Amino acid sequence: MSQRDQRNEWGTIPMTEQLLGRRASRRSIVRAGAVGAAGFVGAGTISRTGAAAAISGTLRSPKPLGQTADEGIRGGRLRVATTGQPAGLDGHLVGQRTITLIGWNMFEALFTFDADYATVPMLAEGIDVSEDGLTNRITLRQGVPFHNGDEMQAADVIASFNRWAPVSSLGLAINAFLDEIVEVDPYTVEIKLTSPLVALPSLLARQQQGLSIHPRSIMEAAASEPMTDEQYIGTGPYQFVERQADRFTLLRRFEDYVGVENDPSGYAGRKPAYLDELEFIPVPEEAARVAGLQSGEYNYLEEIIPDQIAVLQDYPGVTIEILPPRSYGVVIMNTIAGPMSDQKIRQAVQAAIEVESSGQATHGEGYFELGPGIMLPQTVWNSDVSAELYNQNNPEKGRQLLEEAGYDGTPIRFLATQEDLGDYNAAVVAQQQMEAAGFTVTLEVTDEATLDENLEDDERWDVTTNAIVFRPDPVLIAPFASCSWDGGWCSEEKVAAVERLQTEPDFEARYAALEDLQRLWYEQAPMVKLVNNYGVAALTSNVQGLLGRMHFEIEPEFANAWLEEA
Amino acid sequence: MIAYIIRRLLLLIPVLLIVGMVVFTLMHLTPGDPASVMLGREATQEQKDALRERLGLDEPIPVQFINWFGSALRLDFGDSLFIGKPVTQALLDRAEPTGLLALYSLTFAIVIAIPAGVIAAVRANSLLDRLLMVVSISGVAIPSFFFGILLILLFAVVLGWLPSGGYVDIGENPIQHFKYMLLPTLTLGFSAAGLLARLVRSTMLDVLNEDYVRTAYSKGLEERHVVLAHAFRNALIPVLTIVGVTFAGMLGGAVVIETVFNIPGLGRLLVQSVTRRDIPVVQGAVMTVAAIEVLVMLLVDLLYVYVDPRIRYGAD
Repeated sequence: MSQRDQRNEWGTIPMTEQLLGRRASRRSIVRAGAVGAAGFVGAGTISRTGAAAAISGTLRSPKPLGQTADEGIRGGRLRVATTGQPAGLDGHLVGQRTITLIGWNMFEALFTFDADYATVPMLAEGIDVSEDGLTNRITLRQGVPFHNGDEMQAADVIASFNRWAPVSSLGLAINAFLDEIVEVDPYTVEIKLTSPLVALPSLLARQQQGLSIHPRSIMEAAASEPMTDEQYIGTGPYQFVERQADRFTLLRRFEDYVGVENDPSGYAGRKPAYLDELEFIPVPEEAARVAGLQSGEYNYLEEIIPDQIAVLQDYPGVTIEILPPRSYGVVIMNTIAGPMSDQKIRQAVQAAIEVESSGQATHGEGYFELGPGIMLPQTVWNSDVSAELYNQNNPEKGRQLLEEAGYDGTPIRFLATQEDLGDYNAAVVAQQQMEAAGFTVTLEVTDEATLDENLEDDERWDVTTNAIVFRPDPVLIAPFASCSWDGGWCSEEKVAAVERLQTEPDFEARYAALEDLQRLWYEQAPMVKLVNNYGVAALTSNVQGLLGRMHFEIEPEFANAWLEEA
Repeated sequence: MIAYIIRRLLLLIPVLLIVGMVVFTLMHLTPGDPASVMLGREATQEQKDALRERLGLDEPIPVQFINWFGSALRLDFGDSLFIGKPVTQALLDRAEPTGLLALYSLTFAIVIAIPAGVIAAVRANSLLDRLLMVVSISGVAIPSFFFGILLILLFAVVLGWLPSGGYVDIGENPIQHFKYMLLPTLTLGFSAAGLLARLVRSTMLDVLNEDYVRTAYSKGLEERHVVLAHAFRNALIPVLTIVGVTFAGMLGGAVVIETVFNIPGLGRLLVQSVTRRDIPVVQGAVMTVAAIEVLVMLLVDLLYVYVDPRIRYGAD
């Protein structure tokens, strides 16, 4: 049994490991929405700043999130060009960005995130946590119908939880603390834990592979199999109509939708569903997506690469908006096996890297920012601790560290894939900078599936690149919480810091723990942080109610959007 | 003739067997785990193992091959790992866009290229000949993805006359269908027409220098009659071969065109399935493409008989 296999034995690993104790996928990390864990509003444990700080620049700045919505125009079909065909729409089983984008228009969770990324109720009415933190009583909103006409009740929540918990990383994280989940009455569910879990509401909130609530009958029928088209039944403002692989997924307004009445705020609040229909069309070719937006064929692009932004920037009828960072790039080193298991050699890489070139190569001028924080700046967790070790651009120091480490010129296997051009360009730049410091680097370029498989075997790689996507709380960032993420960063100090982050009820104490974690990041150098990558929204100008009101980090919802006359 | 056709059809079995074995082996030798691709690497080992078991990927490779090939002989290629429906159904869904695109493009290419090639040959070395050949060389030389994007920019983005991409079933809305298919047809057809026009010109020039053509002229026949009835028919065989190969290639999937114009066709399905490691679809699609190639070439061989009565099959 390899080291990594041992780590994957849930029973033999520390609690922090169990929280998100598996290697997060390259795809899921790159494409992921947030795995949110902001403190629950009702618990009042975390103070926050606004989540959607505007980025200054030549492009339009976002309005503050959470404004009261104007009265939108009812009708029309919004066409969204996605980057590919999702593997079904069963968000319990599969964590994919496109499933997150489509699914949360149809489904809803017990909790969601508001404009400040605070966790607030959605299908839940509220949560009562006992003094000892072990009993969490969730009351449900009454009179909420599913798309099949049945009313959502506690039995549905429990059935959904029981299907989701064993197959999603978030559910497994809860399961590590779970004693039992029981129905108190048709509108009350009680979750009993073996130890307090501060982040429970956030773990149950709307996010990638989050707990969407479905009728019990469907959960029992689907069991461990993927849900079929007939089984995509939720409580959301849109309902599933039809899906044809590689052609489209069509949703239509659910006329009997019963939501909350608060003003729209981030993912929370009222969802008037102005649009009659939402159509999601897989368009894998970037140029085809861009041309489709220009011609008005599509109204919103799931993704746009920076090279194409210039094409659209001044194009009439198209709006491009720079959003707060949704990820930052990292050079990941294999701390388990090979030359990179030597901390000094990793520090040599850290010394050699100059991040601005990487930002230019991966995102282009104006679409990235520098910052040492391992939590993105729109969160309350951002810190400058150990900033002197960020962006060192010091190949001489790197050379010296290599000498001290006794590096013998063994070729460093740097894995990369051109299927993600950002990661690939970052790899090429990092390779050159490492070579300038005296490394011998072999860039091994494969397709993504091959790269994923190679990363599974610690003996087959030394360095790779990836991105860590926005999450509101450090506890649920897999490379922090887990020892099994790519590169296998693990140390006693790291585990202790994460445990404090997880269990301390006081924000100041948690923030101190985060700063310790960041210090360790720069000291132990399991990864080299590159630049913060701004999000970019590309949409036709007649799409209203979205920019400035909706988060994009965990994919937008279209329930408050409408189409104005072109 | 019948015996010849049966013999050729029987040849399909070893061809498909070899293609099937090669594709199966290559797909299983290629790194990349379908379960990881489907679930994401965040999935636990238990999740991946459960999925592999459900998909039958945990069986030994020879057992998987025997199971798969046994089913394939009954035209059952199994279920797509990614799309969640039978491979045969997935292929049939893609057959209409690909088949119609190939048909329209080939028709466009023939209608443009054959007159152009004949005129260029008859007026060899004239200004018109040079002009036609420059256009046809452009068809061959300009990468189809580039030409396609230029057409999209002009007709969809600048003029707004046609959609930039997508597909509408012909049965659902014929007018929309043709609007969506016009640009891909022009792109694919122009590329095919370039090659065809040059070939027609070249073979026609050869034939026009033959003695029997000179004899026909000396008998006082009209040029039009000589060119079409005497020369063109004899120039048809190599043209027919190229038309067949081109058509088979188009049916096998015009991957680039389907990608640029976002047409859910066979070629795009095949490429995406390789990326997704959707092994049953790749195997089914490649075998289908191989069968199409064999059948189209058989059809071309049979057409030779009607073009050139001297050709006889099965007379041995």
